[in-house]
Amino acid sequence: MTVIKLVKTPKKAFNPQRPAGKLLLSQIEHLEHAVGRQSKATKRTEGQAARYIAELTAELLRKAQEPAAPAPAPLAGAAPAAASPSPTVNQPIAPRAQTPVGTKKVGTKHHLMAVPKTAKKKANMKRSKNKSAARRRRS
Amino acid sequence: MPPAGLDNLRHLVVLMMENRSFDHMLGSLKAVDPRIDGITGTESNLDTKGTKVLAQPLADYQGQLDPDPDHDFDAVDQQIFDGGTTPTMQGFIKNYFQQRRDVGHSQKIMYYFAADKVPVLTTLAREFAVFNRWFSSIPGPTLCNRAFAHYGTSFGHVDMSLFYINTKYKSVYQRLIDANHTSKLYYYDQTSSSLEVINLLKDQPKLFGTYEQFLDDCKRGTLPEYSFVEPNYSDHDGPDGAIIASDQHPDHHVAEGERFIASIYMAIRENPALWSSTALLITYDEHGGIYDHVPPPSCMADGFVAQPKDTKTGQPFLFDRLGVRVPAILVSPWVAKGTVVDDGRVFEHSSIPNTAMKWLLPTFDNTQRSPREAAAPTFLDLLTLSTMRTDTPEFS
Repeated sequence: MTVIKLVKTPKKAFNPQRPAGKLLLSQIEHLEHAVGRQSKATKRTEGQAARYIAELTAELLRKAQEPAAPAPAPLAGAAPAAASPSPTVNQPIAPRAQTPVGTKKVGTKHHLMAVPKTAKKKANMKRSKNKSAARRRRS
Repeated sequence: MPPAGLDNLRHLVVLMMENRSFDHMLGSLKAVDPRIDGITGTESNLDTKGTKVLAQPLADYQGQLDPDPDHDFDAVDQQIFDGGTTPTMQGFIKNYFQQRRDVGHSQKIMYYFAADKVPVLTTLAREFAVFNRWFSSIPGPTLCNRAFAHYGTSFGHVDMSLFYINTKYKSVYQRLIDANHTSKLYYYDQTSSSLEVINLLKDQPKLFGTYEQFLDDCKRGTLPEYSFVEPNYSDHDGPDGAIIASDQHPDHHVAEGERFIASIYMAIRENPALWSSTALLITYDEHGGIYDHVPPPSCMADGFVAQPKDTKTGQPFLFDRLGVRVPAILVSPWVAKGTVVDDGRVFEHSSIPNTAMKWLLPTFDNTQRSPREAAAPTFLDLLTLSTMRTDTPEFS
């Protein structure tokens, strides 16, 4: 029987001071919504975010023991397509050789077209501008 | 007659890690097993100076992918399409460059792990079944991708926004519980908590457990039929001192994730009755902005449309193509050693709920779940052996 030795994680890998990433901040936002707290966009370290997540989770679990309260209102987000999903059939997936790569299509479901190069360029430029602005804001 | 392994199956466990691509974690295995669709040594991207940069086995556990590579929908769009309309996988360095504007640093997005740096994942891949074609469900970030594992859809979302779900389809856990099956989500601890199913945590706390409870359930043989395990998402203090994040999300230490994967595997393996009756799927939610060479294929649309304001590409998204490829490994003593799943099937996270449903609720009404989920290929047919293996590895 093969026994594989695990790599030891160095103590210095622990860094609760690193800024909390998007994942933890989104998790906080979800938990705040679930417990009915006003969401505050606050800069937090990972350690601070973790402590707050623990507090929110405890509150959520406490609330779950209480008699049923009305569900949180749905938030704005992507709307379902006008047509609901078509009745499902188990469609066999095409063999890989025949599986087309996911080329980009644009437009509505009923009107698909190739991306005009200039439009794409403009979109890229806009995106790059937005990112530069965001970077400036961050710094 | 079903294979003996499937006949003996009582538990399906899914462990979903964070933000690493197939090539990044397993690409090195091409050199030891050419059937594995990893790195040949010729894969490259151009950097922002037009220099060709090869994928290289220089990935380290921590410190290279800081800041966290962008993997929002529009960023992944650039990584895959590089400004065009066909998926060339040529935009990874250019996209990462935008975050630090440092050419040398941006090239690190092409690094992958040498096999001996990630012995747990690479050993399990070679000892059991590794999927050559398992893709994230959406070319976007964590939450919408994880939603496909729980609901078979993200309800039209391509981002990290809230989705309060039961608008259309129930989670796979709820469906199973409603039909008197057993199912549980195990999050690491209260400080790491659960990620994307917080409404379930509020309404159905009995569906949840912690990592400690998972270990205990394994020991006592009380694991439910279907379990989903979440790693620890943060460096935080625990009752016994520092707890290091084990999710492998950049820039968390990859070795700690390896230890976590090994602990889940060993917890199952150390209970002989459980080991003989359990299949463990290990996968990653999405690629985290890190290079992979396989263009994502098209797929069945799931009936939702994400609007241009959400995709931020100026175009809507019909959920008709997949995200970047991620590692996926099926572990069971009933899986033949060295299985490489490369039979033309294209797997994605909807394969997870569909596999659980086909196994436990095969007559479930398909109109009550997403068309994407109902069409997704399942993976329990990989338990092909008629005699259980006794040569499986241990980690210590």
